[in-house]
Amino acid sequence: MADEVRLRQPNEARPTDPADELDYRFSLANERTFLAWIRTALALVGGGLAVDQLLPDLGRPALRATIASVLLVLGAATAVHAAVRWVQVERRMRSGRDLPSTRYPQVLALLLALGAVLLVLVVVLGADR
Amino acid sequence: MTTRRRPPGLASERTALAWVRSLTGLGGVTLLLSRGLLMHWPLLPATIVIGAIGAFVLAACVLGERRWLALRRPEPGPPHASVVVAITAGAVLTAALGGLVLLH
Repeated sequence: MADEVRLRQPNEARPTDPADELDYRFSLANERTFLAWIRTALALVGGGLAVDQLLPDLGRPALRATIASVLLVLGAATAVHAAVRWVQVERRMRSGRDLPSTRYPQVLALLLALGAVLLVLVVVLGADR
Repeated sequence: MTTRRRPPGLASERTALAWVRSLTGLGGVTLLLSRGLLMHWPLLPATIVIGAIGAFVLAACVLGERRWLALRRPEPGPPHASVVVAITAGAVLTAALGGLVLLH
């Protein structure tokens, strides 16, 4: 089955049939996408740490801890998603199938938008204190 | 799928720069994490944890440099699975340690 396609490792010999080799630019694009997701994950982790460490006056402590925790969990989930997605896409490309669809970007964007609205409320309501 | 025999060009260059940005981000988050650990933990345990994280980031940078060299080959293949696992584990580890900082 196509799902059983194994990725060639750098120390392995090249395929004897040129038709079996994937255009390296597609593979590099997939690698860059993986790294872009990793940067997003690191930004989420950094944001979570910054909320906890650098903004002690931001709203109530429980609210601040919640925001920081959600950002940290999202960061970890995004990093795992990056690796899983890289493998899935690489396998699909090598077997000549369509790329897998994912709703993760929409979910992430929605959660971040909700978080941003929450932060705006905290900042606006906190300005009167 | 057709094979294109050509030397690495802009795609390899962009990928190499993406590695640099990602590893720089890992270093930046590590520094932020170190600040939190030093603020909340006694010096010795905090230093040990920061040292462990620093060693990990160094290892990630070495892997990144090897990948950079691999990208200069005429037709660079995909990264070794261990490189992907290592950098992903690093991001998850920093998130977990961030949670630890949060709890203390």
